[in-house]
Amino acid sequence: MHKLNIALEINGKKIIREVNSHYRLLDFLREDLDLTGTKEGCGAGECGTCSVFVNGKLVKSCLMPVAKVNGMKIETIEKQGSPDNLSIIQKAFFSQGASQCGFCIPGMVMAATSILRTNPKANIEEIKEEMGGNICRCTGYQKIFEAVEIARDVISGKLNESFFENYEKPEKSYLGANVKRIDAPSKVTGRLKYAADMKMPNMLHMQVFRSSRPHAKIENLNLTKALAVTGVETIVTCNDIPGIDNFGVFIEDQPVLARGKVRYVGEAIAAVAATTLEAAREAISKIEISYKDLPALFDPEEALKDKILIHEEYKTNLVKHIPIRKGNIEKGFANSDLIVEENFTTQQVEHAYLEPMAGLSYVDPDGVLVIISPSQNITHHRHMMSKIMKLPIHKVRFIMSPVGGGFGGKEDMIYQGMLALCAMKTRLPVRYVMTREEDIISTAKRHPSRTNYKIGISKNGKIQAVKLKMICDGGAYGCSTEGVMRKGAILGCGPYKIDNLEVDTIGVYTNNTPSGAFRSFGAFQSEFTTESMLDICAEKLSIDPFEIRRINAFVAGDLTHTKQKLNSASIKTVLSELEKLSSWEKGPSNCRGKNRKDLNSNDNRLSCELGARLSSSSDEISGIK
Amino acid sequence: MLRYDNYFIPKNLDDYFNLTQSLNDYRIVAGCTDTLPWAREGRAGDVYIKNIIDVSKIDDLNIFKIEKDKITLGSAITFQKLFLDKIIRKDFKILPQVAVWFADDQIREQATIGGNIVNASPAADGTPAFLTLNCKVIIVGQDNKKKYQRNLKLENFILGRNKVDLKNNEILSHLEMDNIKGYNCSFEKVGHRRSLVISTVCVSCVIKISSDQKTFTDVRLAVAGVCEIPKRLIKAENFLIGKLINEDNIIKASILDIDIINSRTRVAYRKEVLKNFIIRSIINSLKKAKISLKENIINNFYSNKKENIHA
Amino acid sequence: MAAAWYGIARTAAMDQAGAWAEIDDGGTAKIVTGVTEIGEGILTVLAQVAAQELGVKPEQITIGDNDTSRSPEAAHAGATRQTYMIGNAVAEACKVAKDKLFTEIAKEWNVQKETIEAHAGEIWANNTNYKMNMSDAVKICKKKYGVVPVGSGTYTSHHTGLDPVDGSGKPWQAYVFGAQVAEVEVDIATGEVQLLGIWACHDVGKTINPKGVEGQVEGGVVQAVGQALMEDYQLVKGFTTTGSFAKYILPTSLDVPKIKTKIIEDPDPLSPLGAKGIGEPAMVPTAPAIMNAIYDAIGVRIKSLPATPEKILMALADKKKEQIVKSLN
Repeated sequence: MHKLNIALEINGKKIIREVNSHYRLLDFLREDLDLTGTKEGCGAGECGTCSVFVNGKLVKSCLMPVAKVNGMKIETIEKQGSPDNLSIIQKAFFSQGASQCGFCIPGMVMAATSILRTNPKANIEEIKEEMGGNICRCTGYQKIFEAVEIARDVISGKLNESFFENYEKPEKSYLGANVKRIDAPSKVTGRLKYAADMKMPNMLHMQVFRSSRPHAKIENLNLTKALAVTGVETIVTCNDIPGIDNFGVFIEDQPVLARGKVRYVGEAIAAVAATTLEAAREAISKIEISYKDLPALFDPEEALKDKILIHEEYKTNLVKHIPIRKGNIEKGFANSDLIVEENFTTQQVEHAYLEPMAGLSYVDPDGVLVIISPSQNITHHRHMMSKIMKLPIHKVRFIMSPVGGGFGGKEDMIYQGMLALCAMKTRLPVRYVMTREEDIISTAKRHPSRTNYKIGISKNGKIQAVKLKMICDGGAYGCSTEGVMRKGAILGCGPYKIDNLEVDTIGVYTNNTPSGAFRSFGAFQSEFTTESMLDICAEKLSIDPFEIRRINAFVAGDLTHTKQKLNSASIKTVLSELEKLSSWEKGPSNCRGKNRKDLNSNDNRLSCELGARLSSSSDEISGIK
Repeated sequence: MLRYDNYFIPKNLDDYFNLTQSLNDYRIVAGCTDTLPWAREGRAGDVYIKNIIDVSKIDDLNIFKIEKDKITLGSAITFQKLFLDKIIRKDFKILPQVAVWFADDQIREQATIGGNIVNASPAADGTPAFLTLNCKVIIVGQDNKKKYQRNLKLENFILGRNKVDLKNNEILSHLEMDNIKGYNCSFEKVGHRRSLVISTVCVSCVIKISSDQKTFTDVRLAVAGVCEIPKRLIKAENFLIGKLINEDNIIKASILDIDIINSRTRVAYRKEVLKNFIIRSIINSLKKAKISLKENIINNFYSNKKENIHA
Repeated sequence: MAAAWYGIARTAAMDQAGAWAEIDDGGTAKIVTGVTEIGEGILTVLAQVAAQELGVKPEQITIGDNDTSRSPEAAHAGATRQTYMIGNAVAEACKVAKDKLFTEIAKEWNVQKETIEAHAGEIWANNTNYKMNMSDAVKICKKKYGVVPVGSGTYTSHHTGLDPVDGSGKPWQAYVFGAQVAEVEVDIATGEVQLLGIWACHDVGKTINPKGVEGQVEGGVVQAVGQALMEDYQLVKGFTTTGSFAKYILPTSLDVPKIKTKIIEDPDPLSPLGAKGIGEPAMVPTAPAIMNAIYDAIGVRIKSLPATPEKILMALADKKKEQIVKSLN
């Protein structure tokens, strides 16, 4: 590999180094200097987790070739403070609870630092605008904004620094107290090591060869040229699996590496472990494969016809059908004054946790297979891994690395199997870090849904019958489809007493990207339809939306849709509290828009017009260079 | 992943031409904010180029000169400079408006106006604004050790999607644009969100009105995102120049250039938005000249206001 | 607006979690359990639960790493279960550890164990002058009486499977309810929807950390906003056209509403802590509330997510055409 020499100042220290010429500043910081507080959330300048100061300007280091910074001054998150000596901005993030998974937080702290250095009087609109290049997936940004505003006020003297100490002193009980997050100091200082930040001596780098076909038999896989690449230690395929090769959250139907055929674009076929990342990628590019394309299925309703089978051994593409039946819907519809039927669709959605999947694996001195990964269910993973690797369960050890966002996306054991295999074959530690693009195409998504909904309602607003049929594309592998269908079915008709209902949720295999667990797991899709239908009915019956829900709301003692007796149901309290909280103007929702009287309250934000910083006096902007 | 062996940063045009003469396998970069995202899976994939020539430090490409009748911007000037510079904020208001909609602060520190033009994306935000400033591009080349220069109007420099009129070792050196002191302007853009957003449609509007505030004396409108290359809306401009400033004329003007739309996707949407943006950008420019029109007349055609509801 | 409900912990299957606790030198404590912190703040919640139960301060608690070879099983992070399942398991473990300590201190002071209390690092016997700090108490317990105050606990949530024909069953023992109001502004020139405010009311059973609950609501709402308005993973014949963050559109700081949360407490009688959960329920009412708000604003019903500017503008155009046709008839 070609190298170049650079001399620069990093966090106040002058250094001269020889570095891989193609490295970005991000790679130099993370790999060569072990300054891992700066993260690679996407590698394409879209997320801001790689933000650093170069000669005082905040830039995205994933877009900065290291050669560009020769002779310059670099400042990273590590300079801002340490867990026992936080900067004011970091203290503000800590006190406001602004960090959740923590992966975006170093970038946010850097952005906040940049804003307050150049514009110490920034108002909330200016702050929001200048943070537009930093994405957060966990917090919703609200507490981050609060933290920046508080830091601004403390720095300017408007607020005393003792604010951070006087914050919360719970007297009687710690339950119900705003105790500061115990993991925040490590996150706001960028000191917490996620899997991709970890290094082990003699560590190999793994990369994965993935399917470029949605449904195909693997006719010939030729690894010869790939194995000849200098630095390659091993290449693993399904033939290297010692035990029973399948995993999955509900149904164990997915092989660690494709076996005989591929079922979706992006499915893993082979994994290379090499001494450098570049060698591993080069080996991947030299793997030769020939496919025999099979007819593929992309629509769940088409797939249900079972003319083509995705998993032959199951004899059907139906993953799971959950039926719920209560009462008699024909009678219910007959008793209804109004019957409405609608169709709804929701789309497939990506978790977009800011930390791309990553992990390490090694075999320890006791012969225990160790996997370090940000998994949401290491207990289940261990079970499956012991069966797959044919090891007794206590000889498999899963260590959870800090999770940079999960949301259900890190429940599937989508790469740990191949990682473990490489470690076992080479007896060396192996690390795998997905690129963002790889993560997007290969990991499970939220189930897209198509729902047909029929509701019968009397003119006083009481629901008489509901017929809900939801079909979801489960993609190539089962993942959590069964659970998602179950939850979607049980909760779908909402928190309402309905005597007659017929609910069917159906999950189907296709050759699309698999659908799996995603926060609110089926209920998001099914309850969306019920809540939309209720407003549609409310308008037709001229009933206020809160009122129509109150009329039908569960009370203690009611039977749920699955005939379970509820001991308690707080929905009516929730509704009345919400009405007060939002200063709701009563009336049916049919364009009272311009006539609303309760707009411009303090509780909402201004419409974003962009240009907040253009309207402030240009004299105050000291950022002009 | 972008792999390369050598990274050169020439300081002047002579160094640049020496490099392009001696190297065969090379790629020109400036800010790298387009190049690095391009060399990734789903786009170009892993790319290996032997040599990278980074032109962002060439002195000629960093000119910044404001004169009475024109402004000269080197092609390596960053979008952040357009956003922060005091004089640009005061007298060339269209440029900071474009800049604030462009990516985000961090990317603007690196992204160059030349890079944006030369990439020639149909949605390039800078280009419509430069078109409304009657931008001229100055290209420098070397033939047999002799440097030469040629000037082109920006609309003639961009040949098509991702294609510009640069041959051999030619380089976009700098841009010359009209000084628009005394004009009012507005930039409208819509995408999928409000930051880091790629334009679905964007319109740049730069107008001058008569001293009695009754007529349009100069109207310049340009759009990006609706066809292969950003374009001036000639029919609308010609219609409005010399006409009275009233709602009727603005509405008439907004539909004259509809046939330029030939985007690959979402044609109906872009047509609708282009029409609305022409109207809105003119109205917003007039507002800055302290002229308000009768909104209810406009509202019957479309609403310039926003519906603000709570439910 | 829109309402929602959700079940707590694993669906239609028994759920379990175990934990270990030790009151340690210096009056600190160790908690070890298979807890998976994914950013929701569970570590802090457990520290608060342990602190309250043991009588020490949360900052004196160390929570062990989640490691299948070093910590007891507490199952997974998901199904809005960790506060409920692991919180209660930790409380149980702490009760056992505390009991050991109190038994020895009762001997030391010659008082009834039931009169002893501890809080924030101090331990005392009611109606007496006996008082000391936890650090000394631990020393006495271990060095004088030879007892290490450790404990373990397990918590069960009793759920049944569903009948295969009519789905009847008891999938959860605890339910939560919530509702949200959304305020939108629709730009009818471009079809863009800006979400100005969300008001959210959620029943969490019993709040352990209010800011943590707000954080979950705020984060969940914004994820729902993403799905409601801009995110769309697209596949064309199995190949994605949205394979990067440039094409897959996530909400930025300029796209999010101001969020006001009110917590309702309807404690779960079967949960010793009374706490239920918030992680997932926080994002269920948001998308329908936004679609309902859009209807209230412009009379257009979006039934297919996401409600992109294009969908809205085209729906508005269709509505106009319908109105023209109607007025002509």
